Amino acid sequence: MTEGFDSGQADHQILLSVADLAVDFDTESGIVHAVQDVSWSIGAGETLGVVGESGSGKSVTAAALMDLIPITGRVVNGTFIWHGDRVGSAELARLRGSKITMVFQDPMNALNPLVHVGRQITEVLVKHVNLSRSAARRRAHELLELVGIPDPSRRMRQYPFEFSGGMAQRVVIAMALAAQPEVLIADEPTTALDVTIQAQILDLMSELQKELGIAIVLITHDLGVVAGVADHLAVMYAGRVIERGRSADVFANPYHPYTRGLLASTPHPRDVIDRLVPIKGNPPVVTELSPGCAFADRCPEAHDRCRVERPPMSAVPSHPASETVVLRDREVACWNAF
Amino acid sequence: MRSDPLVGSLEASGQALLQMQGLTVHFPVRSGMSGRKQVVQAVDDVWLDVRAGETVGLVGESGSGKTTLGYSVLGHYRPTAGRVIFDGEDVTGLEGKRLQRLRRNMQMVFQDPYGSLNPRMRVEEIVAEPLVCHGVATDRGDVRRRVEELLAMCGMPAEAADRFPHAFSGGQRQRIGIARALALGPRFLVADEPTSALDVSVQAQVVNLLQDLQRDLALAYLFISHDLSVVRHISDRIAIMYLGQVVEVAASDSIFDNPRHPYTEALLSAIPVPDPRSGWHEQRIRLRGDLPSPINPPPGCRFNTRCPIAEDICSERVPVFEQKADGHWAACHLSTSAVTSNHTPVEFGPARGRNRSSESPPPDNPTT
Repeated sequence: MTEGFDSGQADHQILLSVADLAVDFDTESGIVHAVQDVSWSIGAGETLGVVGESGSGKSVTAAALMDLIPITGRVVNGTFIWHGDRVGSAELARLRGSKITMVFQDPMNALNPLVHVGRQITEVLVKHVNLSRSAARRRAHELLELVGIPDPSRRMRQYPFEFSGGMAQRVVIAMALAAQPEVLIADEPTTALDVTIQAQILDLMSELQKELGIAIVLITHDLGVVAGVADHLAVMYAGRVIERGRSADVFANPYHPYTRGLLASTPHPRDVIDRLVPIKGNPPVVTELSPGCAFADRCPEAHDRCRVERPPMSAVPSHPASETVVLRDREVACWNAF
Repeated sequence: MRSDPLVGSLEASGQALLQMQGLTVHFPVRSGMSGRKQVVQAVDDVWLDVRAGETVGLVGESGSGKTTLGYSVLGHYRPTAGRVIFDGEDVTGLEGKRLQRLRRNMQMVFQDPYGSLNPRMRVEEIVAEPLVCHGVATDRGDVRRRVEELLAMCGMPAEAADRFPHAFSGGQRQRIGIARALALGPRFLVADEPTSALDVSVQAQVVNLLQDLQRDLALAYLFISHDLSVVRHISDRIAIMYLGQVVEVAASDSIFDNPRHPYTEALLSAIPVPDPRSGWHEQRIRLRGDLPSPINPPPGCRFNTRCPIAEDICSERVPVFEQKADGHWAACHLSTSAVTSNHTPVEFGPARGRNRSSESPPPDNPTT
């Protein structure tokens, strides 16, 4: 084990692991390797933050798990491990919507605009929990109460357009909780919301996590959103995880130049500096990836090797790799990190 | 050149490049099946100055009216009441040639770098369009030289002029949009969420570019954003909007260190801090509920329905937008002394309704 820096780790049993996931998309300009060699694990009651900018592949990973890859894409490699056992696609399909559920960025797109909100929740309960209609209605009422929607009886008879963005996201969360999942995947759950409403939804998610013990995979572009709520962090760039570890440790000691660059370019509301330090250039086009490190062109520390040979994920020396727990160590993919 | 952000006297308004005086924009709507005529109070009685070379950050949540305010300043919307003064001249409701002349001095940078550039035009045509429309440059060589100069100012190579927008990333497109806004040599830019469509690593590039341009060209910005971290970074002063009204205006540091309005406090405490040690998740002030409708805003202080410290007076009387400290304006009946122990006491005098008339002078001059 990794005693010393990671005391919380031993307490949590690994619930779900994704290993060596690769997803390709067919496009007019050729095959895009949207996600390659992506692996992560999450334990019961934990929050895993998956951080990356647009095109980093953070959402595609979740979409692969939920079988939501669009028709032009396919999973070309990857293993899913549920409670220690490898699960095939049929078993995974049974877990989806019941044990593993998802909350999306835009609650208005996630809800059917033509169906009463109550009925949409009830349907989940009838399909995944085998409740009778009347029992499902009672449970839906409880769920809306649980997520903090006032006057649930009246709200159940309303359509999504009658809800504000924040309230609609609460409904989506209620639906995701309906089948008592063990893992909740939240893909940019607060990005479409205002900052005070974002705070409400993040509060709600941590309260529910404490109350129900669910594990949350929080996918976001916003380092501020994961800081303080994520136990572990996986930073993605150009389709790969390039740094991972305990969240506090990644924030305190970022090893990858991209992670450091991301932190330096994020304006801090309290520590005001004269000038932000941006990362030069633009995020890479995933059809034109070099054999080397995808970040090399923007990296202030890149040398010749970085452009020709891709650095593998390697354990940070000061944090000994664990033997029993995989995919959760302090790792970074950079030739210059140490 | 930046002026002292703490100047709060009447005389200082003389230096203001842009003045909003009781600016009000109401939109008529017909609601539901009854077809009853109602009014959306998108912007209501806003008093705000922007000085030459200064950045004023305009912050608010969606539906607060910040974009409507920005558009009204540029003359896209005709104000229902109030005036816009630019460089000492009343430019409220200008039309035709006079509006076009005004636009040489005030331009806009848009939020969406994809939607705001015509995909069928080359970058040269896009950046040159203002020059052509205003008849500033007609000679092809002159236009090309000016376009290349503008692109260079915005960190783009001259070759970019020959390409179409699709060849560029979001950050590069935003640079093109900024080059176009600068084509006529304006003194004032409204930047409406100019970085919110961009990735964080690229957002910093655009923020730095806007700061460099301001320094080199003595530009004034009205910087509209929902992102308080970015706004604090770039702004000299910050105005906080809630439900169509500016509820607080002060120097950036003053807003952050010593907020006088409970909405500002809540907004500040909700900003995600990219540092797990900050404890922001534990310390935030929780606002109940959502933004009320601007069709029937709550009586009294519009924030009273969500305010954690509201008292009876807050739903009975409209708070006066008054100077709480030097250069620090806020509209709140109650002291926000919880935030700080050493600020001057807030007046509890009889509340005056906001002055709706654009003709008579305001009770105080809350312009700076």
